[in-house]
Amino acid sequence: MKLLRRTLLAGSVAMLAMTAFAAPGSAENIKIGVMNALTGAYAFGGVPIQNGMKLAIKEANESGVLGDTKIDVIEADSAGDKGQTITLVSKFAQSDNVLMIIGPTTSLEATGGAPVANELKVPMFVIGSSKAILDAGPYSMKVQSVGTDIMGHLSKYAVEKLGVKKVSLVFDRANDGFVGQKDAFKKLLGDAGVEIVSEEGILSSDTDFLALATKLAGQDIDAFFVAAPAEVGSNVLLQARQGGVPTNVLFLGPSTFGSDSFIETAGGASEGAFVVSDYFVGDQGELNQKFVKAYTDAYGNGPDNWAAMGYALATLAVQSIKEAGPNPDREKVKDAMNALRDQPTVIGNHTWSMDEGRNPHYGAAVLTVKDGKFELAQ
Amino acid sequence: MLMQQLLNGIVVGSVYGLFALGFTLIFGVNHIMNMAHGTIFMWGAFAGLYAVTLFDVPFPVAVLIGALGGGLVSVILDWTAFRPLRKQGAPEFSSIVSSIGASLILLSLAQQLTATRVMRFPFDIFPIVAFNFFGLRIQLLQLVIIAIVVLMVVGLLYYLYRTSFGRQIRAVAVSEHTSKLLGINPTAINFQVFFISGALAGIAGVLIGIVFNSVHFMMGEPLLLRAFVVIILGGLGSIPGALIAGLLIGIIQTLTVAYLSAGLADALVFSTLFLVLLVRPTGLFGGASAVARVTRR
Repeated sequence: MKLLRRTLLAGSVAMLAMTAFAAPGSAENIKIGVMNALTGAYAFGGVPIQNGMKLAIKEANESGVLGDTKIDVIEADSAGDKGQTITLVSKFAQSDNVLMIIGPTTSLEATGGAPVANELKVPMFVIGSSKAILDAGPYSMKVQSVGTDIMGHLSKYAVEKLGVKKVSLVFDRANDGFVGQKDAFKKLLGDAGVEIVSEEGILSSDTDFLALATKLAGQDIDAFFVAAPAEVGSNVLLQARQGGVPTNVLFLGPSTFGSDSFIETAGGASEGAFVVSDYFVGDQGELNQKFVKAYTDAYGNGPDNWAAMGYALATLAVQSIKEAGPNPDREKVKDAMNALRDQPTVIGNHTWSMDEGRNPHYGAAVLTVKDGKFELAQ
Repeated sequence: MLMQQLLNGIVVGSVYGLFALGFTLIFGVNHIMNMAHGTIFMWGAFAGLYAVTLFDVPFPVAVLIGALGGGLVSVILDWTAFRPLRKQGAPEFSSIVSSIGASLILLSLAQQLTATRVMRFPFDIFPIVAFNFFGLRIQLLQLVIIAIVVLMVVGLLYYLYRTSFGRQIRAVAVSEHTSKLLGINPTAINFQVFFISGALAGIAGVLIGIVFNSVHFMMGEPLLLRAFVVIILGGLGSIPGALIAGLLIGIIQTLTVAYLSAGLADALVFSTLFLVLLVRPTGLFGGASAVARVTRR
């Protein structure tokens, strides 16, 4: 019996060793760890981001942008959770031995993972907009601009074109990125002399906004701003309208609302909403048209803001691997990633770049919903 | 505005109460802290939603199908997760663990089914009609919700205290062993209890899904947390306690959002629980005599 057990044990160890050595990622291939919030409250962004990223890598493999080298993707779910992100960064860096990590979805997760990536010296390119991601060190980088950058377009439009004078702000208080957007917007509006009537923190797991709606309905405001995931924000908007907030009180939203799911969830209530977007699916640019077609062919539905952001990020990641030259290592990729400037992209005004503080810039557009569709606000 | 917010609080609170009723019923009869109650609620909402989107059924039928769906999932849960434990006389802690496991499985299934999307009932499932009187804005849906909750509570109380089935349930709650000696079949009783509890959760699921415009696989989790507060506050196992504590929590939450800040609502709800527990550790209606009517001591 003992002998049998020992034989079995030795056999399984041998099998394990064989599989480890015969793993598909041959010497030629590069491994990239791709993680996003595929479950949990942020899955609504995480899933399209992951899709966008995989599409960009598939295209890179097909077009041979890295010569004969192919990229193997190792997927994981960061679940919108800081702890899980930290575990995954370590796993990717130490046991999967990836060249770089792309994702996670939110600033919340990324601010947990970024310090670990810098400690383990593995390049990590994330979605979030929080500045803390950059502060963690040179190995962590983000694709989104800071809240102030994109909010500047919206506040300028709200004040100059819409004549907004009194605003209430609603924001997802558990998410660093949304709090940052709210703070940036508040400051910009304050500087322009707009009165902030109230600030309301909500949670993305909330669904009951009746009390908030009644409160907003009772306020003397020109507009209300909501910084939250699209599905949650559209629910706030819908319940606000049902709770008696009149349509002449305008709805202003950040880039998260630039997705069709916003219009789907809010239905008629989305009509006349103003949203600043880092991506516009109707953009006629050649790169975007190609992306929209490829994405729709691959996943059966058109890309949203998130999918475009994931696609843009993965394209930049591939570019930094390319710039790192032949036989890239983590150090070279980190340097190439930090040197990325003036890259063509599907988001913003088609050029993604960074300033000296490594803050990304790519412009933005203000969109409005008309007849159930987004169009550029004039 | 105060009256309006109180009304909002009553609507939200009565749905909390409805959700917590099933939770407290299972606790009262089986002494199980059913951590999968939130997922049963979610599956009830899914059943109602799919009935509406696939077969275009009207609102009352959707509520019924939600109840049926929730009830079925709950009964299956009992058969697979709790009954084997009961047979072995496992400690109560085992059923908590078992229910957490079941809840995770039900969650992942829902997540796979919906690809994590947030879904919603069609806008025309219930006409958006609002009445204005004395400056108060009441939506027809809010009135219907309150009516359904009242109906459910009265129905449940009648069933438990005025029918032979109810007497049997209460007998099992006091002692399963003794009730067996009296010729009661505890298996049939547990079937009923789990079905009723699941059906109540399912109805709450459909109502919440419609009124808050959102159906998704995580929808039960925040409610489960609040239901905890509700049943502890109301006194574990007490049916009137669950309803009144539900209303109280709904109102506290709403007024906090209205007059303080939305961010403080949960903090205040849990502080209330803490304070009540300091003064009355058995909850508001959990005094020894009050609970004994539905539960064993």
